Formats: sequence, structure tokens, C-alpha cells
Amino acid sequence: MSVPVSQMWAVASYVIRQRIKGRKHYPLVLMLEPLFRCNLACAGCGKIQYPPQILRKHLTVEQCLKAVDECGAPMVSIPGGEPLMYPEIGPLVEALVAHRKYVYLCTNAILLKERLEEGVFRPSKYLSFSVHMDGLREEHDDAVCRAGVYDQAVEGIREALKRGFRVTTNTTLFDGASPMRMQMFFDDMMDLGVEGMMLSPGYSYAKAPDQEHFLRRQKTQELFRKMLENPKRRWKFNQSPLFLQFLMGKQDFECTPWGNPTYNIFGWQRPCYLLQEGYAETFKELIETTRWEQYGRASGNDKCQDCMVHCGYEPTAVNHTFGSLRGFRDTVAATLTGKL
Amino acid sequence: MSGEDAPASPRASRLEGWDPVIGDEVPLEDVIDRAFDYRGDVTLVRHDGSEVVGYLFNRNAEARPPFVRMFDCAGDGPFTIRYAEIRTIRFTGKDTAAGKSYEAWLRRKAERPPAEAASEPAHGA
Repeated sequence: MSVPVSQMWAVASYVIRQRIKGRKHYPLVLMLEPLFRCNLACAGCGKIQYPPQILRKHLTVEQCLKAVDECGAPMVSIPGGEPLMYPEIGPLVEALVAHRKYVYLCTNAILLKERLEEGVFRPSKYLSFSVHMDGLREEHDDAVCRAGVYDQAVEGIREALKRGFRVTTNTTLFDGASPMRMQMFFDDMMDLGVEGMMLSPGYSYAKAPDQEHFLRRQKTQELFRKMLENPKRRWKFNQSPLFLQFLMGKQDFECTPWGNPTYNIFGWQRPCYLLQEGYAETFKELIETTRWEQYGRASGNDKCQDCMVHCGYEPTAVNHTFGSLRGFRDTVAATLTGKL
Repeated sequence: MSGEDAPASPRASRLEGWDPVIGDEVPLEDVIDRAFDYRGDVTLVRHDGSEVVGYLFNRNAEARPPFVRMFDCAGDGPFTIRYAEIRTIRFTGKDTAAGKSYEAWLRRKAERPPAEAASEPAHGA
């Protein structure tokens, strides 16, 4: 695994503090969406279908920082929309780094080289560009519905690495993904020099145009088993090994829907990053008034039955690591041996 | 589409243009839920005849009193409006989630020369 020791320690000490305090509903990663506007319109994305006045809106830096303080999570992921289109992205990231939050700026990287050349960002151990890469050139350009984006992303990654930035990739896998080509993709990303890769199966957003190509649970496990059964030592994953084992069907976890709370121009999204069933005005209201028992596989909620997405299950995997001897042992073993 | 033609299921693509008449068969709470699910602007009509045109992004039927929240069509807001003030909601804006199927994009892509087709976004970004 490729998460730096300082980041691992920050997360571990945070989780242990929450457990000592007896907090059940604590967040791990804040999903901060400053805007919905994007320079792509990917077929699997349900985040950008809004009227123009909504797409033109964005949060202020002050609103973002207030949400960060309210939430208290040690990591902040900035998806969107495309965060590099957010006019205040530089000041926002600088403020988050000053708050010692580990920031994952999730970008399609079309604008990355340009923003780096403009001097919008400074390298920091707290900042990682998490570049959206859904596979090799053909698969990626197909997933984002535009030719040439893979090459632009690679150019952005090279530029960021050259300038000393941390770079990871995030990959969403859909039905039809080839395990062998994904393994070639892992090799390519390692050759590029990224710090680590993040993987997740897609979720079938009700508003996404492409409803046919989302993975169902059994297919997900089959695909991840084939891809990761004998992982190469050089493949680095910037995520919990127990989550990857869960995707392979080797761990049985329940969803932690409050683990990655989402804040955007509408407020705190209920109940999770993927489902939009309403909004709370404060984080406290979100945690205290959402009926958490109605979500997750065990609840019987239809919308949750096939979901294995990182935002619900990676927090469970992290909790498992620090909540049981077996979880800690499995995590250490996978980290040291590279076996999943 | 009139109130009598109320869609049987809240499929967003069928809601565009819906002008429901609130009553026993089409309860206000149901229309509000559909408006919340709708990815286009709506026109909210108050009992006093005044209207708010914009995007309805939240509703809370369990709050006391129950309310909806909207940004108007200029993006101003959010405005909070109590259920008790609402006469009806018309689905007047374009449904931004409708008519953009993956299949349609694949068809368009197949009909054009490779370079041009591949660079066409799935739905007009």
C-alpha cells in the first residue's frame, strides 16, 4: 500500500480518538463539492444534470472551511464537478493544507497542466491530485465520452510529478472491464510514477445516462478477484487493503454511510455521497436526524443492495482495522506482503 | 399535461410540462417529492397567487412545519417555503436528466467519422 506513514498515523490516531470517545457516527473523509460544473459529461456520472443557474453556482471558501470545521474529518476529498474549474481552488487548497487536512483533489486533469503552470498550487505532503483514470486510453476516453482525455491526463500527471506533487489515480470500474487490460493499466500508472491507485466499482446513479453498464455485486467480486488475485509487488494502492479484499469477496462488510459525508451548495447531503434524499443545514443535523438504519445492505433498501462503492465501505474497512485484532492483523499482513 | 394525466411513476422524463391539480388523487406531498426528484426548474405557485420559478433542491415533510427549499432561476436563494403556503408546483423547466441516453450517444458516435464522433461529449458539455 502506498499511503504515507504520516497520513496513516493521522488517520489511525483520529480513529482511535473517536473510538475512545465512544463516537459511533464519525466521519473519515469529507466529500467537499464546491461546484457541479464540469468540462466533461461522462455517461456514468449523475452529478451534473442541473439547470444552468445551479451549474453556475459554487461555494465560497468560507463556506467550505466552515463545513470542514463542522465535520472534523482528517481527510478532505474535493470532487465535483471539476474542481479545477472552481475559481477559488488555489486559496481553498492552501487553507485546507494550513488546517493540516489531507486533501485529495479529484480531477479529470484536463486543466491540470495549465493550473500548475499558473502557479495555483504548491507541493505539500497534505495535497494529492487524485486523477480520474478509468483504464487504458481506449477505455478511459470511452468512459468520459471524449477522445484525447487520457493523453491530457497523462500530460497533467507528468507535469505534477515533475513539480514534486503527490499524484494518485482514481478508477471507477464498469461492466465489461477486462481484468487483463486493467492489469496493463496498473503497470502503466506505476510506470508513470504515481504514488498509488484507488479503485471502486461504479454506482448506478438514477440520473446517470448510462444505466446498463454498472456492475452488480457478484460480477464486481469476480472482476476484482481476477484483477487482484496475484497482485504485482509494484502495484501500489492508495486505499485500505481490507476494502480491496471486500471487493474481491474475501471480507464481508456493511456500509458506513456517514463515513464520507458530502457537502455542496445544497447543504449536507443525506444519507451519503451517492444517494440524494434530502439535505441538512448542519453536519450535526445530518448525523442526528438521518435514519441511518434505513441504509446499507442489511436494511433491505433496494438502492443499497448492489452498492460496493468506496465511500460507504472504505470507512468500514478502516474501522475494522482499528476495531478488531483480526482486522489489524489482516491489514498489517496485506500491507507487508502485498498480498490481498 | 394536466392534473388528470399525472404520471403513474416519478420518471423524470415524463414530468416535464406536468401541471398537476392538487387534490385527493394527486396529493401535494407527492407532487413535492416529484419536484425534489426532478432535475429541472419548476414553478411553485402559492395560495396567494405569487410564484417562484427555480430549482427545488430540498424538502422536509417531517419538519415542523414541513418546508421546501429553492434557488430561483437567477440562482438567488435559498428560499424556504412552507408546505402550507403551496397551492401547486408546475414542472415548467427542461428536465436536464432526460433524453440523454448512452445509447443515443453511441448511435450518434457511430454515424460520424471516428475523430469527430469520439470528440463529441455524451450530452453537450
